[in-house]
Amino acid sequence: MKAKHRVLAAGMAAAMTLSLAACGGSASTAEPTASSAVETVTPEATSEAASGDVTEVTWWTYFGDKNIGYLQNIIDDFNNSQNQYHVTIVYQGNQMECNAKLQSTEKENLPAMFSGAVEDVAMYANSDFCVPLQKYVDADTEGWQELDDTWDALRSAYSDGQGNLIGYPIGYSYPNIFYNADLLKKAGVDPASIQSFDDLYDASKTIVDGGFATYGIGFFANGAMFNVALGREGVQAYNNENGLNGQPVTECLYDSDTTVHDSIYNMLSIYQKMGAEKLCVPYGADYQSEIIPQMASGDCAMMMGVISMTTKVLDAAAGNFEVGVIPMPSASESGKRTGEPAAGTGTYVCDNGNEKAMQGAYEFIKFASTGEQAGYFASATGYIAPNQEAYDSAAYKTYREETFPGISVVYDSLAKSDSSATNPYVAISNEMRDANKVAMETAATDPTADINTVITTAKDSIQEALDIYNQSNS
Amino acid sequence: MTKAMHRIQRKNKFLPYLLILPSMLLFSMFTFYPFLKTIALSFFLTDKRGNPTKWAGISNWVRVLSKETFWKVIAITLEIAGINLVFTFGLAIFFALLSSQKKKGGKLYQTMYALPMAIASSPAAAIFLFIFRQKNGVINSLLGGANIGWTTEMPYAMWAVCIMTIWMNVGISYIFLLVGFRAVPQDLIESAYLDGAGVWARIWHVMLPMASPQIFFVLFLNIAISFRSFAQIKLLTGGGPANATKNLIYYIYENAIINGRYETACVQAIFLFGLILLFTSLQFALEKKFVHYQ
Amino acid sequence: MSYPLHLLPQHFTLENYQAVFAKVPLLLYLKNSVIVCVIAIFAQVIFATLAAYAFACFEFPFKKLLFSLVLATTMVPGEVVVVTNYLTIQNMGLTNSYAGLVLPSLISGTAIFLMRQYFLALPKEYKEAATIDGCGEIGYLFRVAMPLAVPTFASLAIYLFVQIYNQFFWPLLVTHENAMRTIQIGIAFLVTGDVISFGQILAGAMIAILPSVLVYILGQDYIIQGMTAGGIKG
Repeated sequence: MKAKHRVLAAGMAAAMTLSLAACGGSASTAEPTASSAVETVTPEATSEAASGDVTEVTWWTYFGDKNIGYLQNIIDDFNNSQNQYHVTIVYQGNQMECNAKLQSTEKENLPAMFSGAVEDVAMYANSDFCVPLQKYVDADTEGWQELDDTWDALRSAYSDGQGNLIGYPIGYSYPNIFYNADLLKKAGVDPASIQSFDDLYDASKTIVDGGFATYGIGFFANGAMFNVALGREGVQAYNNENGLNGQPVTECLYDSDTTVHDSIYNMLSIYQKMGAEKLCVPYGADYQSEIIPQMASGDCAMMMGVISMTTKVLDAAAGNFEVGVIPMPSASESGKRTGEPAAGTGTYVCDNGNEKAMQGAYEFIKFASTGEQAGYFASATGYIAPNQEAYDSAAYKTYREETFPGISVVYDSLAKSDSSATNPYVAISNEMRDANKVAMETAATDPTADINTVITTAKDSIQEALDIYNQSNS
Repeated sequence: MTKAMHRIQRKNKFLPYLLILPSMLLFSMFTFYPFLKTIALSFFLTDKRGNPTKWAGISNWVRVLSKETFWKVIAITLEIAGINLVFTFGLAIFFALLSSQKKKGGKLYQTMYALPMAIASSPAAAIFLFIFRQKNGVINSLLGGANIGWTTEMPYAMWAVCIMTIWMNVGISYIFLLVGFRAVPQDLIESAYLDGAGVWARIWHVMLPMASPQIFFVLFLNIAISFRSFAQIKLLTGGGPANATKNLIYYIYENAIINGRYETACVQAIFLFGLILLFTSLQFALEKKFVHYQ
Repeated sequence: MSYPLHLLPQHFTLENYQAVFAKVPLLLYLKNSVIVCVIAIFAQVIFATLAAYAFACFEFPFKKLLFSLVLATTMVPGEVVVVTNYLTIQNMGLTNSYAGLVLPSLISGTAIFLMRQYFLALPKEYKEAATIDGCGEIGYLFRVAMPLAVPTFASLAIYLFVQIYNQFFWPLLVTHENAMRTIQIGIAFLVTGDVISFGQILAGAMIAILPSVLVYILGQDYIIQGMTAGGIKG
């Protein structure tokens, strides 16, 4: 018995030494001694960089495996098209996690390029890790035709109020409603007639009361949709023209400006009515696991979403019914309703102190915006073509003519649009989205909620976030 | 205590400090230092990297504590923690007692009870979203085609969160309890049996007191875990509908990680720390009375 | 298979597994995860045993205070310390290394508390017998108390494995390159896929679950042995 214990004790001691050695070893060298596979990759990259020929350009993204697959094709084309830069894309968690990581990483560990949502443009512009793209555009002697041919609404969404470009869209998403065309036809609802939340309510009621489907619509539970509905109407819910007149936003106008208040009130009342009358899928349902399958089975006639969900909806419909899209309805029936608020993901240059790598990031962003590349990505993913060249590309032509002809509605609407729809240019976009989502959710799930209280609560949260932000950054 | 032991202890005056030194060094670096920083930050305004930018006095505290949402979140935190504590602890004791005696096929049951804990929260949530789905979800199908939005409607969303939490947490408590019950000397149980003690008497007078140190640990662990139910809330309901399942830890995550508002998160974190401390202190106040050490 | 509206799978296929392995270097991630877990478990077992032995079997000034501090570590919400720790790891130049991944997991208050309970539950006769046999403090710890603790170690190891293996945000923060990534990040990457393939997500999840289950089944034997297996008589 004793002998056995000794063996055990010896084993423990050995294990302790081993584990300590393992820590000490990796700690002292900083670079881990990983598998041979790892080793063959790392030295190669560093030796290339050291020789001065090829600069490594790292790209942090929250795109998942499917989209990175498409992006990798663009990256490969770029890497092969020149011999100065080598781009590597690395997944860094979801949008929130990627932002958190960018914010808390020291300069020398940062990448040269990152992905970020268009609603967060002001947050990036005000951060210390993002270098506005305008700096590189100004220094570019070759010009950038695709930028000039980018949709106006889109270009302004990626700029500050003075026309300085912050980032460039890689995935131009578009807030919209998908609908089951066969079902709407049967119910006698003309999709083109749905232009406001009031129209949406009427259409849903017709569908549900007529027994054509269990639900009229499933909402996209995302706070950004709140701003989008206001943007469609040309309503600016923040002072200083949504922060675009050169002065930062200091005030949220949800309850102090009558126009803003009335639009929000109308929209939230309709959320409430639709929730109470069970005309919509319970608000908050996940679109992937819940709403799209319900659309596929004919239980739900419409889905509010963004255009990048197209592939999923088409897959789910599987040809059993025709899928159509209409632009996002406006919050109420007042206002111009001529703007097109942008959604989706852009690419930005990240300040990691390596000027050459950052220049490489710009070159890549430019390369990815060319007709062939941007057209390919849009057609593979369902995103909107960001510029004329992409729209005219062969790959995208096939997509809009054969794969999804319904998309023409979006381009017709874009062609008629002006720049009246603006995303609020505020650095507290996360708090804003969250407060808006809670407002829509409260209205839609609580039939007894007082809409004015809901508006005030949302406004108070946003105002508080604005105040603290402005205090701590002044 | 014997004389021999006294002698050894006097000789080794520094030994206990030496024994706890490695742990304390690691704690200092990765727990005490950041938490002290947290306490300090609660009196500043911070940037998104968590660096202080401006002295704020107690204004952060006033702001956080005067917010209605905060107290609603506290109530939800207590509700979720309470439900989970009772059910996780109860079920784990039940299953551990059930399998404390060596039986054929016992291993299969042990694996069954403990397996859920092995599954990471994100695949677990994928499975639960499937189970809770409104359209053709497992539960709604079992209920004969019910149309309940398990993750989107109250009170079901709260149940969904609690069911998943309990499912995730029972396993580890079960294992620790099983170790405790298995360590109860067989001859004690047998002599109680020979004395005519029934099943309940044996559990009440032999098993539970003898395993009380381990039970005490499991209770402690459960308090800490149930106050910090996070992943399942993030993945199942996102704190919704309308903040109805948002607990304090989720609130802290939103502020610290998503919004980059560290000073706010710090105040809330100190509050959560205090809350867990309070309940753990209550537990320790009962240690002398109920825990039977050799 | 993209939109499973069925309760049960319609047909059996290994395609999803092949697809998952083709997309993500899961084996590399798995290796990283296991390395981190093994280092952390050994460190925690050793450090926690030493510390718990001090708290359970010695009397010394400030013992109560120090033990309270240990317990307090389990109450600190990780969300507020994680970024500070990330800054620490960056200052030490340990991003993208096993050391960076594992350093904050080398000890936990839970492990110390569990081992303290174990030592307190250990019959006093063992220690007296050992002392009479001429065992010193350390001799008693290594030759008597630790071998008897195998079931407790096993339960602790299972617990720690699952905890550390399932970590997501910390490894995401401290590793920048795919080569140093752990398994849960690989799974998240698959789940984030913009077109859902439920089959592939589940396939990835199954691969990720397997090691935890294996550890549990292996560890279970040690737990079941119970105290009797030691058969200690001094």
